[in-house]
Amino acid sequence: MGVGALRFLGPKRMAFVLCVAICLLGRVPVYANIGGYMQVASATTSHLWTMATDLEEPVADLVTLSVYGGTARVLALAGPGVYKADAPITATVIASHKHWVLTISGETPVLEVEGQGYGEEPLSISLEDISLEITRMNGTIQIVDLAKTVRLMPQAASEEFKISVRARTHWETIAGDYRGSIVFTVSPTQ
Amino acid sequence: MKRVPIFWIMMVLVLSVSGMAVAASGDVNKPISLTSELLVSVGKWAEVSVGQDETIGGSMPASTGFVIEDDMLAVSLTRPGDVGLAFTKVKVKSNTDVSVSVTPPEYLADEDGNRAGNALKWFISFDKKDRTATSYIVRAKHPNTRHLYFYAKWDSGDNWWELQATEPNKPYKGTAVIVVQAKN
Repeated sequence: MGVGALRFLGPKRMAFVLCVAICLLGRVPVYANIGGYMQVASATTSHLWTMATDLEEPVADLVTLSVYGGTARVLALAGPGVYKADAPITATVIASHKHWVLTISGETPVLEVEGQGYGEEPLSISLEDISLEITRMNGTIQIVDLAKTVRLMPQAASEEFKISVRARTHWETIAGDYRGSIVFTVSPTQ
Repeated sequence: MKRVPIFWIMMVLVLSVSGMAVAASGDVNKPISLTSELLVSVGKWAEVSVGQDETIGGSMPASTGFVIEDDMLAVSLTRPGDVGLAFTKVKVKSNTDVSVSVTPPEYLADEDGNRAGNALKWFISFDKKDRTATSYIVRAKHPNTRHLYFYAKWDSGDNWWELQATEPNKPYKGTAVIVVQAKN
């Protein structure tokens, strides 16, 4: 079927269709069928998609990282306490081997201030007050704060991580919207 | 030519799902990264205590604020010309700028409904001399403690007799309300 489709669409369009399939299905390693190299990159803000289709390059050691869930929104409306994001983020790594590590780091959420604000210093929520509850496919749960980079070694070649974000607020936490980010990085291991 | 519609259908799909998920793939010898936005919305919050140690906290929709009723300010006047001054502490802390105001009762009356006469001059204020000091601002992250005063005087003028003596345990009473409200 793959060969038929390749003949029908041609290599570039086939690659394009496969990009879309990765976007939609995320965890299906369809790129292995085309005997080529392909890269799909995206910026969360602009959703800029680029694609390379050099069909001569081999596919060895290809790894895919997918992040589902978009923005982690935490509503901390009822006073000081710990609040959970409305929906979890799912990070999926697809690979044919276990020579990778997933690291999760954070960029400090900073208060968006209108007008003069509250002084020179930008107000923020400490990364120590942002915690992640990470659930792996085998059911193990790990709770960590974002002050230190989290390193997740693979238990299988391909893995899915369900991540619930929590934020702790104090009475001194000025009311308003704080924006930061969570960065997922897959790196090779020796 | 039959392939063209398929191509455009896939284009439409790409555009429609771009907000749902992000994916990156590549040679494992180079790190690949994706970023999720983190948004923490912190509501407006204040804690208020009036009197001793009891504290009341609440979230504050900017339009309504919240109201507390607590404590008692009592003065005793025994003869014309007497002045009484009672006070209590009002402690406020908040994560946003708030206004604190006191609304005095419209009148003082005993439990049978008999109102105090014109010979009783009184006010409730955050200043023991200035009856108009009925509100102030507390800045975010700056806890504030002020006194709330109840001043009463039995006027010794010609109309002193208009203040009817109260029955035991039936003083003239009223309820002042302190309101804490987000400024914006």
